[in-house]
Amino acid sequence: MHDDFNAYRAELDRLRLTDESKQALTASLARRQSNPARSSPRRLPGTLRLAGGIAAAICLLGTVGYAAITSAPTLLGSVFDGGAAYEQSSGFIGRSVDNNGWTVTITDCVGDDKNLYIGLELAAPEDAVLDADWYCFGTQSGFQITFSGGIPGLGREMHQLPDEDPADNRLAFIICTSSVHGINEEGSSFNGQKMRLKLPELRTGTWNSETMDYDYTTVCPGKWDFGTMTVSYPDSTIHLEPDLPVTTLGVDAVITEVDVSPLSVYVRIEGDALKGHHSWVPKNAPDGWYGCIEYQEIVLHFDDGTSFAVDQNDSNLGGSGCSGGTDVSEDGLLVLRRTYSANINGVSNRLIDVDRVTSVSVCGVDIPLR
Amino acid sequence: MEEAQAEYLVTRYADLLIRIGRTWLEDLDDAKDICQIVLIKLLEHPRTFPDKGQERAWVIRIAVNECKNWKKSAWFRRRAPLDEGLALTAENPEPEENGLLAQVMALPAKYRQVIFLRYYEGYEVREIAALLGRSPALVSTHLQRGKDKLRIMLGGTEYAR
Repeated sequence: MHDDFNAYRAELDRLRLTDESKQALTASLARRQSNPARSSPRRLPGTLRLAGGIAAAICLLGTVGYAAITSAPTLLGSVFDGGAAYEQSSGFIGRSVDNNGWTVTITDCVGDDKNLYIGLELAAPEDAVLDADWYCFGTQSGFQITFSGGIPGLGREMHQLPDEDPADNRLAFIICTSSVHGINEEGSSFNGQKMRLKLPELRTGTWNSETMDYDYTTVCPGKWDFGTMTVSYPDSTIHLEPDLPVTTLGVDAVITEVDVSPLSVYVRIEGDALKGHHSWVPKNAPDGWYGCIEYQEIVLHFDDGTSFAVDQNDSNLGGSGCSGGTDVSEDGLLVLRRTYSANINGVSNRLIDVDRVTSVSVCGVDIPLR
Repeated sequence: MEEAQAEYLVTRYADLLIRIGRTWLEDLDDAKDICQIVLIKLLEHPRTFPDKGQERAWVIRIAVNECKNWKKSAWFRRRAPLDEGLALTAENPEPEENGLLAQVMALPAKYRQVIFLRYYEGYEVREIAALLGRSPALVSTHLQRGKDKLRIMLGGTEYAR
C-alpha cells in the first residue's frame, strides 16, 4: 500500500505558505530575534495565571454580559486534593454571571475523555440567609448543559458540596457529566468542546412523606446563562492497546484497550468466547442483573510499591457494559469503566497521579504503562 | 545574522510545520500559529545536530508537542505568536474529491498522525514511536487500523475489527 500514498504526498506537497508569507515571516522572526523583549506580551495576564502553572483555561466566546474573574477553584480542596493529579486533569474557568445580586461562578473543571466535573460557586447578597439543609438549581438534573460536538448518551447530575462555612453566604456545587455512549461507539472527548450552560432558579426543598416528593421553595428566581465556552484541560490519559490474553467469566478473551487517566480506568475485553455469556454468568450484580462487568479485578501499581484496587462499587459514573450476552451473533465484548472512589454525595473524590502509575493489572494480567 | 538564521528556518521548515499543524489540529489557522510558535522556539533555542535528518526529527518532535499543548489549552488559540498584523497565507488547494488526502484527514487523529509520519515523512515504526512517545506496537497497530479504515473508505473490503 506504500505506493498508493503517492497521491497523498502529492496533495500534501501542495499545502505550503506563499512566498510573500515566508518573506513576512522571516522578517518578523528576525525582528523578534533582535528584540527579545517582544516575547513578554505573549504570557497570560496575571488575572488568569494559575499559581500552579496549570496550562488549561476556557476560551470565552462572546464575553458581553459575562465577567471573567479570578476565583478559588471549587473542586480543589472541597472535592479533590491538590498536587500533580489535579494539575494533570484540571482547567481554570472563572466565568461569572449575576442574577439579581446572586452571582454564580464556574470556577474550574476536572476531566478526561469520558468524564467531566465542573465546579460552581454561588455568592448570595449580604442580606440573604442560606440556612436550609440543601439547595439546587431546578432539580438535580434540571439544568441545561450541551456540548457542540455532541456527547453520545450524556449523563449529568449536580450536587451541592458540603458547606464549610454556613455564615459566609456562599455555596459550592459540582456538576458531574459522563459520556455513557454505546459500548461499540467511539465517543467524543469532552476536552476541546464548546460547552453551553444555563442554570434555572435556585430552590430548596423539604421532603413530603405524603406525596413522596419534595416541596420546593424558590430562593432566587430567574436564571444564570453562561453562554458558550470551550472546555479545555490537560490530556494526561495513558492509552494502551495491549492485545493480551486474559481469562474472565471463565473463558479466554483478549484485553484490547486500556486507558488510565487521573479520573478513571477504561478496559475493553473482547473475544468470541464471551458471546452469549449471559447464559452462564449468574445474576449476582448489586442491582440484581448479570454480574459480567462488576467483579473483574483492576489494580493500579505505583512507583513506590503501593497499589490501589479500582472497584466497580466505588465508582459513581456509568459507562460499563457488555455486548448483551444473549445473542451469539453479537460481539463478545466487555467494557469496564471505573472512577476511583465515591464519597462526597456520590461524587468521586479521588484523583490518581498517572505519572506515578507503573502498571495496571486486569484480572491478574499485568500491563506495564511505561 | 538574525535574518539569515530566520530565513534558513522558514525556508527549510515552514511548510513542514504547516503540514504537521494541519494534520494534527485539522484547522489551517491553528496550523499557521503552530508554525510561528515552533519557529520562534527554534530561533530562540538553537541546537546543533550531526546531520539534517536529526535536526528535522527534532523539529518534528517539537511541533508534535506544541500541537498537543495547543489542544490542551484552547485559550492560547486566540493569541497571535508573532506580530499582530502578520497574516500568513497558505496555498491550500481544495483536496481532490474522494482523494487520498481528504480520506486520510477524515481518519481519527491517532491514525492520520502515524500515516503522515510513515508515508509522508518516511519514518520507520520504531522512529515514529520515538517521535510520538508511544510503543512501537501501538504505532504499528494504529498504522494497520488506519490503513484498514482507508481501504473501506476507498471502497475496499470491509474492515474487520
